[in-house]
Parts: sequence; C-alpha cells; structure tokens
Amino acid sequence: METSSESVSQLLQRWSDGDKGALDQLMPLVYGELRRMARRYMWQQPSGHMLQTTALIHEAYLRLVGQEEKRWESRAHFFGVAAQAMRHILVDYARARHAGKRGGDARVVSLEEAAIVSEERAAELVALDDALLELAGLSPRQSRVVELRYFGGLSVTETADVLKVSSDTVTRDWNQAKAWLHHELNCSLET
Amino acid sequence: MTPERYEKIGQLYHAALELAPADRAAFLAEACGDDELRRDVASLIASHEQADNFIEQPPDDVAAGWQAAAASPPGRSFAHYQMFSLLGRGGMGEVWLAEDTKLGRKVAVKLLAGDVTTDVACVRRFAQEARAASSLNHPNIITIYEIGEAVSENGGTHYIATEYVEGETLRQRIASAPHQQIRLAEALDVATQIAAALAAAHEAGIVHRDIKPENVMMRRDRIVKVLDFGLAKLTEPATPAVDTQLPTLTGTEPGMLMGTPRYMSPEQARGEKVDARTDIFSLGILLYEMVTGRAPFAGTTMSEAIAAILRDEPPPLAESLADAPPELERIISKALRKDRAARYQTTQDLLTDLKEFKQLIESGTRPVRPRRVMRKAPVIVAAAGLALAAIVGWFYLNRHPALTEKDTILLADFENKTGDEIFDGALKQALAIQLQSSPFLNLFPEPRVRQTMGLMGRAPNERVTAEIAGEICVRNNLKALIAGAIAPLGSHYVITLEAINGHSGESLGRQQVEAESREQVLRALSQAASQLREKLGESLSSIQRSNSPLYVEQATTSKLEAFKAWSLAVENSYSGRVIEAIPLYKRAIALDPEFAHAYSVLSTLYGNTGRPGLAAEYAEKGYKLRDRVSEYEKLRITNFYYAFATGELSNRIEVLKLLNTTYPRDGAGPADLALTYRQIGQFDQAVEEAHEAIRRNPNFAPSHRALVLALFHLNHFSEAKDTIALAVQQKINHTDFHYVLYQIAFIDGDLGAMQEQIDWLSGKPDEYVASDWQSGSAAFAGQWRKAQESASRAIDLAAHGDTKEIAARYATEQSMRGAIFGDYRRAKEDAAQGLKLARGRASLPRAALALALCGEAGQAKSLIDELVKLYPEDTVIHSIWAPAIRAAIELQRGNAAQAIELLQPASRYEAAAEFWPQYLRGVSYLKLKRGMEAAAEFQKILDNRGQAALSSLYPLANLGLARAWDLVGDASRSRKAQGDFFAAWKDADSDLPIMIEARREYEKR
Repeated sequence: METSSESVSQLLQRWSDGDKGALDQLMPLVYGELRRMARRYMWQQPSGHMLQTTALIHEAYLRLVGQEEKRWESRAHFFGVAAQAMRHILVDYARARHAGKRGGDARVVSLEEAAIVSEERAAELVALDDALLELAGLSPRQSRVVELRYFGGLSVTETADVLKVSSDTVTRDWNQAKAWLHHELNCSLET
Repeated sequence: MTPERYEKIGQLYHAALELAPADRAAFLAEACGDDELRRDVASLIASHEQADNFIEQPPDDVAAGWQAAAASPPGRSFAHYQMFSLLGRGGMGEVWLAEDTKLGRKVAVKLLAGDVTTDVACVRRFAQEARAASSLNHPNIITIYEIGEAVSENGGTHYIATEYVEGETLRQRIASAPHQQIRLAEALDVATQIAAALAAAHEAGIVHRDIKPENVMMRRDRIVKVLDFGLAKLTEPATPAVDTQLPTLTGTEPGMLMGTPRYMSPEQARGEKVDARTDIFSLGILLYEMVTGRAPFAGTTMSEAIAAILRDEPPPLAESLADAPPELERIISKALRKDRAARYQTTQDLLTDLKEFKQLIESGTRPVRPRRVMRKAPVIVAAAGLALAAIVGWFYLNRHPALTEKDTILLADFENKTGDEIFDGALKQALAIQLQSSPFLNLFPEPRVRQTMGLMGRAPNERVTAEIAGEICVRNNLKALIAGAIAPLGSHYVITLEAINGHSGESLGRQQVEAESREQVLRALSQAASQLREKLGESLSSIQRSNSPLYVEQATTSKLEAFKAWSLAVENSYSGRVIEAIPLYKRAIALDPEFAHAYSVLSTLYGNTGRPGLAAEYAEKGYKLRDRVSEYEKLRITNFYYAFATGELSNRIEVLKLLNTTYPRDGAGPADLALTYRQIGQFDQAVEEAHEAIRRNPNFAPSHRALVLALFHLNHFSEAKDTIALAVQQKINHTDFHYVLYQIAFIDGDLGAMQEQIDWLSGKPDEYVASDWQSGSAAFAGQWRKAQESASRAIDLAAHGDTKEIAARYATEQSMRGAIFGDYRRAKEDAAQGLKLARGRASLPRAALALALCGEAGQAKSLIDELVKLYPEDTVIHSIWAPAIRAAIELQRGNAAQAIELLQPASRYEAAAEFWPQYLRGVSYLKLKRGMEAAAEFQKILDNRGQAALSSLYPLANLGLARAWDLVGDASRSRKAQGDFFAAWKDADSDLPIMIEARREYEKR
C-alpha cells in the first residue's frame, strides 16, 4: 500500500494546510479501508470477535498512513476524517437495520436477545444522528466535537488538535452539547 | 432557536454550573431576561445532571453489528454452506441464513462464538444433547440438520445447521401486539405448542433450560417452533454449581448482555441443578407475559430481577387483563410455584390443562343466547337422542389406552318434517363433521351402517330411523347414538337433538332450538348440541374436553345448498370418483364463495390429476380464507397450501405430523403424508403412513391410492394388485389403480390385461389418460411414430377447458422423449406446443429439460429461471428439476464433471425423479470414461423399474450399461445389456438416431 500511504499522508498535509478539496479525496479512501477491514477481520477471527470503534480507526490509520508518520498533527487530522467516515458508516448501517425492522419484511431468525437490543440501538443511533444535524445548525463546532469524540473516540486533547481550539473550549462544547442532545433525544422519545 | 440564542443559553448554562446547585435558581432568575430563556437553561442543566454516561462510550455495539453485516456479502461459504445474510447475533455466536449446497435447501447456520466453545467437555455435552434433541422429530421443535466443526487456519469453529424458520420471534410478536398483549386464544395456542414441544423433549430426558421469547419462532402459518434445545448447557459450568453462579449469565462480552434472568426458574437463579420443571416455570412466565403484556417478575437490574423471581408473587392477572379467567390464573400460578415440588410435575399435565382451557375458550367465545321455551312445538323427536356431553367426557377419560372400535357412536338420520329436501342428509353431515373434528370421538362409519342394515334384512338405502339405529347399536355394541329432527314452525324451524343409551334405550337428554330462517339452521344445530350438553348437567370442564368446534358454519359453510353440494362431492371423492367430484366442489364454491375448505380440497383433486396450476390457484384461495374455519380445517388447508401453492414439502410434512397427532382418528392426514413421502421418493414411509391411514379410515379412497402407488414404486407388484382388489371390493376405485394395473400388465407383456385397463377408461371423462399410457408404452419400445400418434390423441382430448395443463404435460413429456431419442426437431416442436398450451409446473420443467438435451442452452436456462422465479420454495423444482436441467445443459456443453456436481442436490430425492438424475449421471460418467460408475447409475434404473415403469429411460439404461461395461472391458456383460436393449426395441422405428447409433456400436463390437 506504498502509493496510497504516501498519498494519504500528502492529502492530510494538504488538508491541514487548508486545502478543502483534499478532504473530498481522503474521505472515500478512509471509508473504503474501514469497510475492507471489517470484512477481513470478521473472517480471520473466531466468530464473535469484533474490533471496537476506536481500534478500527487506529487500525485504519496504521494501514493507510503507517507507523513512519510521526507528526502528531497528521495523526489528529486523520482521526478527524475517520470519525466522520465512521459516523456515516454506522448511521447508514443503523438506518438500514432500523428500516428493515420497520418494513416488517426483515427476515430475522434471532436466537439471541442481542439481535433485538441492537435493533433498538440502531433506532437510538439514528435519532442521535438527526439531533447532531440539528445541533450543527446551532453550533457547527459543538457538533464536530461530538462527532470526533463519540464516533472517532478522540480524547479532549486530540479533539482540540483537530479543531485547533483549546482543550477548555472542547470541554465546554462537549458539556453543553451532551446536555442538549440528551434533552433532545429524551424529548423526542416522549413525543 | 437561533445560533445566537443557543450561544447565550450556553453562556448562562456554564455560568450556572459553576455555582453550587442551591444558588443556581436565584442566579438564573436574575441573569435571564425572560422566563423562556430561564426555562431553557434550567432544562439544559437538568439534562446535564441526567446525561452522566450518555455518549461517553463510542457505539461499539453498533460497530460490531456493522462489521458482521459488512462481512456478509453473498458468496461467503463455510463447509458446504453458502452464507447469505446475518440473521442474528448474540453472545452465543451468529446465525446466518445459508444454503446447503449439497442438498440445495435453505438452512440457518449458527456459528458458535470461540469463547463458548473452548471448553471441549462442554462442547461435547452440548453436541450430545443437541443430537438427542434433533432426534425428537417433533413439529414444534426446530430440526437440527447437522452439528459440526469447520477447521480453518485460525482454528476450528463449531456450527449447527438447523431448519430455517421464516417468521418472527415471540419477542417480536409481543412487541408488535397492542399494549404488548396477545389475544388470549392466540397466547394459549402458542403456549400449547411450546408445551407440546417441551413434553416431547422432557419425555426424552432433555431439558431446554432457556425458554424465553427469543427462543420461540412463530411462522406465518402459526406453527410455533422452539429453538436451541441444549444450547443453554454450553454456558453452564461442567459441574452443578452450588454457589450463586448464574448459568446463563457467564461468558458475556463487554457491552453484550447474554441471557436474561427474566425467564429463569428460582432453582436456576440459585444455581441449582435443573430439571424439566424449570422449563415449566419459564413457560409460565411466557404465558403470563403474553396475556398481560408485562413481566411477572420485574426488576430494572439483574439482581433485582433475580430477587423478584426468588421472592415475589406475580401481580394478579386482573391488574392488566380485564376479565382474566380464573382457570388461566390457576394454570399460570401452578406453573409459577417457587417450590418446584408444588409446580406442575410434568409438562404433559400442563399441556393437558392448556389444551382443555384452550378448547373452552375457542368454543365459548360466543355467548349462547337463551332460547325461548317452546311449549307447543310440533316436534317429533326421533326416539334416539344425544348424549354428546356424557359420551365425550367418557371418551376423554378413557382415552388411555386409546379408543377402540367399540367406543364409537352412531348418528341416526335426521327426521325431516319440513318437506324441504335440502335438509335430507345435510344436517346429519353437518353434525358428523362437527363430531369428526374431535380427536377423541369416532363415528360409526356409514358403510358399516349399510352393511349392518343388510344383515338386518333391510334395504341398504333405507332411512336410519332412531329405532333402526338402536338395533344397529346393539348389534355392533355401540355405546350411544345421536339422532335429531327438524320441523317447520311458521317461517321458523325447530331442531331437536336427543342422545340415547345404545344398550338400554334410555334417553340421556334432549334439546330443542329454534332457527329464525333457513340460513340460521346450521348455527342453531350447533347451539342445540352445546345446550343439550349443559342441560345434561355436564360440567363445564367436560364440555371443554370435547374439542369439537361448536359452530359448524365456521367449520364449513353457512349456506345449506353449498353444504349439500359439498356432501355429495365428499361422497364421490371418498370412493375415488375424483373427476366427478370436481364440479360438485366447484358448485359448492359457487354457492358460497367463502367456502375455504372446498377450495383447498379442489386444489388436491387438481394436483393429483396432473393440474398443478389450478391446484396452486385453489390452494391459495383456501389459504386466504383460513381464518374462518375450525382448527382441524386450518391444518388441512395449510397442508394443501404447502403442497400445491408453495411446494414446500418439508413444511407440509410438519403440518401433517401435527394434524396426525392432534387428530389421531382422522385418516386424511396420514394419507396425505403418504402421498408427500411418495413425492420425495420415500416409499417405505409412504407405505407405512398409507397403512395407518387405512387403519384409521378404511373407506377413504386416497389412502388406498397412496398405498397402491407406493407399493408399485417399491416393485411390490403383486401386493399392489392385491391392495387394488381389496379396495375395489369395498366399492373404492380410482383411475390410478388402472394405471398401475396397466403398467404391471405391460411389464408382464400381457396385452389382454393392458387392453382391459384401456377399456375401463373408455367413455370416462378422463379418457385421455389411456392414450397417454399407450404413447408411453410405445415410446418404451422405441416405436416413436406410434407414440406420437397416441400422444397427439391424448393432447387433442385434453387440450381444452380445465384439462389444458394435462395436454401441456403430455406434449412436453413427448418433447423429452424426442430429445433422448435424438429427434431434436420434433422435440423442440413438442416443447413449443406444450408451453403454448400452458406455462407452469406441468410444462416448464419438462420443456426446459428437453431443450437442454437438444443443446438449446439459452432457452433452457431462461425457462428454469422462469420456473424458479415462479416457485422459489418448491422442493421438487429445486431439488429435482433444476439440478437435472442444469446438468443437462452442462452435459451438452461437454462439461460432464460439472454435470455430475450439479446433480448432487437431486440424489436425496432421486427415487421420485423418474430416473432422470441417474440417467444423466450415467451418461456423464460415460463421457468421462468412468465405466464402473456409469454402470452403477444405469443399474440403479434397471433395479427400480416400479419408480417409473413406462419411462423411455429404462430401455436406454440397458444401452448405457452396455457402453459402460464396454468401457471397462467386460465384453460379456456388455453384450448381455446390449441384447436386453435390442429385445425391448425389437419393433422400434429403425430411423431413430439413437437406434442407428446403437446398431453401429453393435456391429463394431
């Protein structure tokens, strides 16, 4: 993956230099890698072992950028892209799963409660995504903070690096966004 | 809200959070200009306090689900399973929808998670138990096909392949019900089926241990399947735990709660050794939850839930279920006793209580309106009467050991004082149907009545008055008889029923009801029966035991004329006059377009006379109307739906097994089962079931037909002949009897006997079949022109009205013969003609196979695609036709090895495939120069002539055998086989391509 690791590093560099077009090229690369990994992992491992969200992104980073890349910044930027990709992937999946249930024609032979639980979870995640979109209209940065922290598993410092703001700001944003989202989701549950 | 306002709220929110909670209100009151702003900030603060762990952890569970889904592209295969999609996932592993490529059927494959299966001893115990469970073979227990281990470079994965059940889990059913409450009747039905499954398992010493709504599947046809027997054992410690370890809670992954304590028994929660009574407790919880929509033992955390199981009594049903029947309360509380010694001790006991209660509910859903007492009703009651109640109760109590013939009751003829001949026979028939659907009742059969009448010196068609009925009872040692009368009362009718002791002649009780119109008569009759039983002082509990649907209009139809047509039709089809019965059933449907059972019975008549298209149409119609009928008819209708609409034979077999255990006196179920086994080539089982069918009801033509056909297929020719002779003695006859006799005569070379069978058909509505037989026997002898002539005659005779499909079958049958004889031009013409006549199950597969053999791969392929699309679940199409057609295509392309591979799914059913898989395989082996294997295939054909006695492939198998022996250098065997071929084809048309080729080979050798 020599060529792609080079280009991903370069794209990350260009993006952090302010080239918005670089993101459009990065996204499909990251997206595709996450998908490939999911497939590969599933069948190399004894069944039941899955990569967790953060581990998936970390793994994708190693594959696309490689360990040679030492610059912290570039890593943070990669995580920024990956968090967004992850959000799309998981929400799309959740939406499909939820829709399948709604449609009534999902052929489910569920022997486990977990299958059901994860359908409910799917609905929750879809609702969270909707609320995040709304939040982006009120505070784009808060919405980004949630995306990075929740879908990308980034720490406060990492999030601050990606967004080029102070850690305090991230903490405050996170704090308010969390309370607001929680309120939104519980209200929508009630109605 | 605007971004500015949101920011403002944020500033106030953070400022307030820095204050002590007590000071916040004052701060906000001062800092916020308006009330609305203050409320917004306050609610954000409130959320903050609750939001504690909210979105702090990444959505790992969803990521895991996505990974599983992402890893499920079609094409992933595992052992001999092709995975299609992930059906479910949990702590135990994953469940995939897959196809078994060896057998060509859909299966559910459960891959056990690695950590569950690392304990070898544990796996072994599980496998043992699962195997034991799979041997149970109960219609309410999911069938386990295979338990195995697939080894890959990363180690082994244990898997279990089971039947794929399409439907929803009980959990989903509950969730989608209004208020999460399932209707009482349905809940009881589900509980009864689960109990039946458990009773069978417990009898075999197997405890489920994990009965919960997720482990119960409900199919569209309302058959319930219990999943995962023995699986719970996997997560149990190897030695019985004595501490408080919870068996099904171990081995969980982070973020995944495996198992739930909600359905545990107290002994399970305490970690004690469990037995069958644990399952009883869990089923009690399920039933409680189904009817009330809530868990009997609630708790938000696991330990609370466990504490509730150990300590609390469930809230009374009445809290969530208005009018909760006390009997339901009693059953549930007996199942939910904490002390297992106080619980139901066997599942059988629980099952019995459930069944009885279910019947009570089903029969009692319509309140019986008190009738006016008629003082001067001019009713003449036949001297006999009705003691349904007492009799039924008596039968019930004495059903162990099983009822014997002497426990039968007699129905006398109704006395019809109305002058309206529609009531002649109809009311008796209605009452008979009602009584027949009881599992524990047996009616004295009509032919035996007539026989006894003969012995009494009476004309066999004389009316069976109450007096005569009494004498018949005495002569046959019958316990009781039932008779009734109908008389006019102005524009109304009065119906009287009476029960009488068969020995003493003493009246056991009588009942009168009034019907306001002709249309109300059948309903009134049902009411009379139930009221009489109450009047007799029968306890409610013994009424509920009768299991007879009290409303006959549900069982069949409310239209008397329709009922009459039905009665006539039944009479005809019982004695084998199938073609004559068809218009009568049609008439019944015309008179009552909602007559579900009539549609379904028509479907079987069409299906068994070579009209699969019409059969499918009627089976669908009946199935759509099945909500209106009794339980008995519902099972019959579902059976026909699987037989003729979808063609899912494994489902059909299950439904029939359920029918046969629920109605142990009904002969139609085993007869249908015999025919189903015949369809998949399991002739020994077919014989067994047909015998059972005849034992249950000796006067039912389909049973005799099934027996004759199965015996014939097994090469038991003389037994088949004897069976026919016996049936004919009992005035039962059937076109297929004559077909079998014709074939036996043909095998014996007895031209006279062959002609006799042809003559028997002369002038009959289905005369065309005789020409078809003649074309088959001519083709067998290589007399291709003669075969064509007879076939044209058969086609001309059938090619109109509702027999078009039959003509299409004949034409395409001819096209297959033409194709193997090498007359491709003719074969293609015949295929085209057949498809023009009708395009469906009768013609598509045959035309496709013929065209494949003619080298028309493109056309053949598009025909199979059409076929598979039309009938995606059809067992015979998937397991026999499609493999054969695909193999023929590859064979013509020169890919013999692939052809053999493609025929793999057909091997299971090839006894029913009229030699095609064996023949195609034989030819493929010849192409591959594998002489011994080719010889074995051809020999299979020659050894099993009865499977398809007139098949043109039979003589050609000798030709193939000659070539096979030649390949391995066995000249004498080769010559012998060649001689057999030329003997069969001594009068064959000499210009047939295959004949020319055979002669050339002969000269060479």
